[in-house]
Formats: sequence, structure tokens, C-alpha cells
Amino acid sequence: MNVDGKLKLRKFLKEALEKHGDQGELSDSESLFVSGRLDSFSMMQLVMQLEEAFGLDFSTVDFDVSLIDSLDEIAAFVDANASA
Amino acid sequence: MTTNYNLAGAIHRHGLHTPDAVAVAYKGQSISYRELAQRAARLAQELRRSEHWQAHDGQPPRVGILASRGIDACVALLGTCWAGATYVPIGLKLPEERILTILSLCKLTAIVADADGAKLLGERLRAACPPVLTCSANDAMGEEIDSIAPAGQALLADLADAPAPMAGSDVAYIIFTSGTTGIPKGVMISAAAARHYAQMITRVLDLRASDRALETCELTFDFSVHNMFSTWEAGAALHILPATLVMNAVKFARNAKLTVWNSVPSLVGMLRQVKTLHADSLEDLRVTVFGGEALPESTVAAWRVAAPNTAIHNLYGPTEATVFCLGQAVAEDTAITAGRDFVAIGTPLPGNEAMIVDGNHQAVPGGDSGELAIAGVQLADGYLNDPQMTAARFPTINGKRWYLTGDLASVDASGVFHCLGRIDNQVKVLGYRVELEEIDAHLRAVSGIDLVAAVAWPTVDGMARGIVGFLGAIAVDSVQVIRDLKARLPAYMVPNQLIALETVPLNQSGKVDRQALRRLLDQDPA
Repeated sequence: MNVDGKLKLRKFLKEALEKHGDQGELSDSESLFVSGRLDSFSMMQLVMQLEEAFGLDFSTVDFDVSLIDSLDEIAAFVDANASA
Repeated sequence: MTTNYNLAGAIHRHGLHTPDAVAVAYKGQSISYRELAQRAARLAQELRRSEHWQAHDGQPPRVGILASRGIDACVALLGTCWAGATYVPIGLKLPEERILTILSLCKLTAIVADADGAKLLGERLRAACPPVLTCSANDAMGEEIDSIAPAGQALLADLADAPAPMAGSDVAYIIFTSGTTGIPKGVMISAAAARHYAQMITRVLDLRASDRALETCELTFDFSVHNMFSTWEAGAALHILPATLVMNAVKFARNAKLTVWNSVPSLVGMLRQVKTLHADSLEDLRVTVFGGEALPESTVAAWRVAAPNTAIHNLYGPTEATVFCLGQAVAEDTAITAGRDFVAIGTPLPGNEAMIVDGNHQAVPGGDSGELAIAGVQLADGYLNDPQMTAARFPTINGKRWYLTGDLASVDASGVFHCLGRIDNQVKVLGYRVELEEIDAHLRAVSGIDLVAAVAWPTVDGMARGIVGFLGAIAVDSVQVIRDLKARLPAYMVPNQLIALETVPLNQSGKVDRQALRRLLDQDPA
């Protein structure tokens, strides 16, 4: 994933966290969902956002929260699955 | 012989007759009926040994359950039942303020916590708490945290000892729901109502000992009463979905070969959106229970594709009438509520009655809409410490006690009930009952702004997914206000966003016009 894509993602995640009243730092490797910082509704919104922004189709992947639990994981997942 | 209405009776029975059958499974571990009965009986012994153990005005002692989902949570709850006490679930995710409010309302004799619950107890909470027992599989009797006497010898309880006798009128559990004044309401359900529900619904759904049933709910949501006690009544296995696997619920159910699915319809809506609901992926399912929210027709259609062999039951009910009191199996020709695309809520389940009343509590003529009222064995005793509210919501009409649900409904020509919405500002967010006025009250308190309104938004398939708060102000420090609200309210009641409006739309009676605010959001999603 390019720098621009990662910035966009970080912005989305920071906004989601802020909506939960969470202004804490977000490192690239930090757990978002398993840790409980974000809820399943945010997970669903992230999935929809990723589909739209990167042309992903989640119906073709074996979805698991560990695929998208941190910024690094999301970036790797996008790189592996994004349509050209 | 007098009947023992203790809810733990089913565990004792199966512990004696099918001791090795799995009662609960969670994260790769499971517990048999024998072990579950033994652990519950030992916890009960420990609770009853406490010097604080005492009845309240002829009612059993109350025990708070501070536990997340899992086997230990089931033991905590069943041990409490086994001891003959009233259980009061306290959500782990609740803010400290909310827990303190509940503690002050309940006068608990003890709290039973699982490992997560025990960790949560900070100094401030500890000071307000009765004695706390931890209940953990690694240390079956629990380390002693507070003043309860040490366990002594770790004797395995003898299953010859049945659960403590409970009368039908003893309160089995108290579940808190949102209250319009800003203080949660404690709904008191008798042992007779709870036991009737478990036995009745097990028969209606034809649950069997060979079933493997899904648990998706926290103990604070009374849908969990259905999931646990219908499964255990049948001697079947309860498979608890870990919170992190919610979006993988289908894979979870498929791998565990579940035969019974229990969830709110909006879970299926979310699974559809993350595309984890695949055709024919749930072929082992034979019973599906959707409840807690209106059931969209589109959810049923998607579910039939994913789970081709299941009967689908749409169940309706407020906490005040013990989980579900109306329902029907959904067939191809099942009535859809006109203009709402929801499946009709069916007819009263055995032991329940329903009618539509007008503002003067008079039955309305056939077909007209009015407030849905419920009567029968499942009615709650009322609200904890609130006789006024109890009298207002549970009036006696023509010599019989009814509960006024606040739901607007009608009956069609074939006697099927249709839910048409609310007559007040209560909404459901992911199945949880939320009084919008309760959020208003807290918004006002933390922001210092008088003109405020919470609305349920967005809605997907007609169901609310979150809350948006409006404040009559030029600007507002959203992050701070949300953080303050989080300290007071359960997460599902905290707005996802706040919008400052210089002019807040008012309706003819001078109140904030929530409809207009919702339209504003629909036009211009922020």
C-alpha cells in the first residue's frame, strides 16, 4: 500500500476512534478490534470503506478479524487482495 | 410436594441423568452437565455460608454477576440460582457511574465475578461493593477477595443435594433497562415466570438434547435468558460466540455444527454487509430464533439461502414479560406488516395474552391500531423500588393485570399481531432498548446545554445502528462530551457523533422535532 493509502486509512481509523471518545495514539501494529478499542459496527464500516477505496471484494476472502486488526495488517491485506 | 421453581433445577436434573453431555462450550473448552452442576453447587455453598446472606422483605438475597461471556459466567449465574438467590447481571462494559447506580439501587448481598470482572473492580467500585467472590475455572472455588470466609477444603459438592428451594413468587433475576428519567429501571422477573418461559419455549421450538445452540448475547440482555435456559431445559449444548468472532458467526456456527441459531436480526444484517453469510453455509441448522428487534423480510430471504433447512421463528417481547411472549414460525405465506416490510409478530405464546388498547386502557375494535398490552404468567413483578412506574405500566384492566408495552400495534383479520412502531421515544440499537430521553438527560448534564436531542441513526433494514446527538449550540467540544457520556452510559447509548445546530427544529408543541433531525441526517449524512 502506498503512503497516501495508509494516510487515508489512518485518518479513517483515527476518526472512528475519536467517535468513541478515544484520542489516544495509534501505532501501526496496535490491535483495533480484538483489543475492544473499536466495536463490530466500526469493523463493518471499515470493510465497506476498504471495498470502496481499494476495489476489494470481501466475498472472495475467508474473513477473519486478524486480517484487519491493525494498520499494518490492513495494509498487508489490501496489498495482497486489491484489484489492479 | 411443593414445586421448586429454581432455574438451576434443569442443570441438576441433567447432571444426574446425562452427566457427560456438554452443557456449555467456549473457546475450545467445554463443561459437562455434571461438572457444571458441581461447580454451581459449590459456589452456592460458598455464597450461603456468607454472614451477609439474608433475605430482603421476604425476597431472596440478591447477587450481582460481574462477568463477561464464557463458562465461568454461566457458573457464576447458576451458582447464584442454585443458592436460591436473585441474580442481577452487571455488564462488564458498563461505565463505573452506571455500575454504581445499579449497586445503589439493588442492595446486593454479594457479587460473583469471573476473572475479567474481578480485574475491573477499581478502588472506587470496591468500596461500594458487597463481598466479591471470584469464580474461575483455574481455581474452582475462587480466591477470596473480600470478607467471605475461605473455602476450606475443596470438597466437590454431592449432586444428591438439589438446588435451594425457590417459591414461584421469589424473584429469579433483575435486569436493568433504559429509563426515560436518566436512571435505569430494574425489571424483576419471578422464578415462576422464568421457569414457565424456559419450559414453554423449549416445547414450542421442539428443542432436543442433541441440539447445539448459539449464544450471542451478554447476560445484561434478556435474550441471554432464552439462550441459556431453553438450551439447558432441553439438556442441549450452549456454544458461546466469542466477542471477537461476531463477524465470523457463520463460520463459527458451521464449524461447531450448530443446530440452533439465536440472534437479533441486525446481526444477520451485519454479516451480510461484511459478506460472511454464504449460500448453504449453515445446512445443519434446524431452528432459528430471531428476536429483540423487528425482523425485516429481506433478512428472512437471505437467511433461507444461507440456512436452507431451518425453521425460522420470529419472537417478540419486552423484558417486562420475560423475554418473548408473542411469536410465530415464519412461512412463505406469513403476514408482512404493511408499509414496514417487517414480519408480523405473530400470536401470544402459551401462557400469554395480548390485546390492543386505547389511551383509556379500553380494548380497541378489530383492526384499529393502539398500544399493545400483554397479560399472563410471564409478566414481571414490576420495577425495583419504583411502585409508581410499576402501577403506571402494569395497570389492572377488567380485573386482570396487564403490561403496557409502549409498542404501537394492530391485529389483522386472522388474529396475527403487527408491530407498527413506538408510541414514545424508545428505540432499539442492535437489540438493546434505549429511551432517547435518557440520553437527552445525560447530554444536558454533561454539556450544560438545554436544547438537546438524541436520534437513532443510521438505520439499516429499518433498524437503528447507532445514536447521533444534536445540541443547540454554535460549537461543541464533541470529543469531551462523548468522553463524559461514555463515563455515564453503556456504549450502545453513547452517540457516535454530535452535531451542533444553531437552530434546532421544534414541533408544534415546542419540543425538539426528532423526525426533522432524522431527515436532516438522511439528506446530508455527516
